[in-house]
Amino acid sequence: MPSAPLAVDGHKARAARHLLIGGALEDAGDEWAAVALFYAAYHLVKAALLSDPIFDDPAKLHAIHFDILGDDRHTSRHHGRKGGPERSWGINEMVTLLYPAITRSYERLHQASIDVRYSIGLPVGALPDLRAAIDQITQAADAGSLRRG
Amino acid sequence: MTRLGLVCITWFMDEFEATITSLGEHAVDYIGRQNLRQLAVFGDHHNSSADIQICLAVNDWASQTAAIDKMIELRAMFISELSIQYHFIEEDNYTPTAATRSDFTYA
Repeated sequence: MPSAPLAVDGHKARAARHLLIGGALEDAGDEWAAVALFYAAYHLVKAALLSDPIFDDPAKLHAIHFDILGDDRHTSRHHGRKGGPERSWGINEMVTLLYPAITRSYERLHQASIDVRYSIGLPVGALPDLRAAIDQITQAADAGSLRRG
Repeated sequence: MTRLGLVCITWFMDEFEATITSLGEHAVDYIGRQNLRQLAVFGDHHNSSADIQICLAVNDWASQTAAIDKMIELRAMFISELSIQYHFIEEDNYTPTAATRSDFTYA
């Protein structure tokens, strides 16, 4: 975790950096491309959450889910938890609730990243699909469609 | 392929454990028994979270993406009750990553 949270431009810059490295690893046929491409997606979603005006509108948030609050735009964990009086949302859940058009792409990238870092490695044939996934998320971010407000 | 059956390890069936049981049953139904070698759900009552370990019968990318799509549906279905994470494992490689009062194994 960084000591100071990044702002929108900082997340976009990190996404661009991860995209660059992911592309280089992809060209080399290295499975670690999945990790870099996933974290590019993560930072693009973080930038979207921070800039989405829906977090300034409690009524619209409540219409999405009764437990989402304005401060939830700052979540940085992948998965949430419900212990205690308030729910803590994860990025994956926020994508599911707020940006369903990119959910499949985001989940593919996340699971591929887990496969590489913690598990059985990237299955054969995954990289072209992951390229399509990050391209979809990048295009959605560039088009300004990652917003609900 | 191993025959699938439900093994439920629990001290008593409270609401959370009923939810975990339902999640496990839905996961098997959604992914399809014929596509699974093993599936285990580790529930963490304190955090209302669940960790699903999935061992596919064929662990190629096409099978994983099909299972991922089903897990997206399940996450949306249970989103008010549970925070769900999942990952794919090789056979006989179960590693609980959450408090495991409520464990369900399909094997």
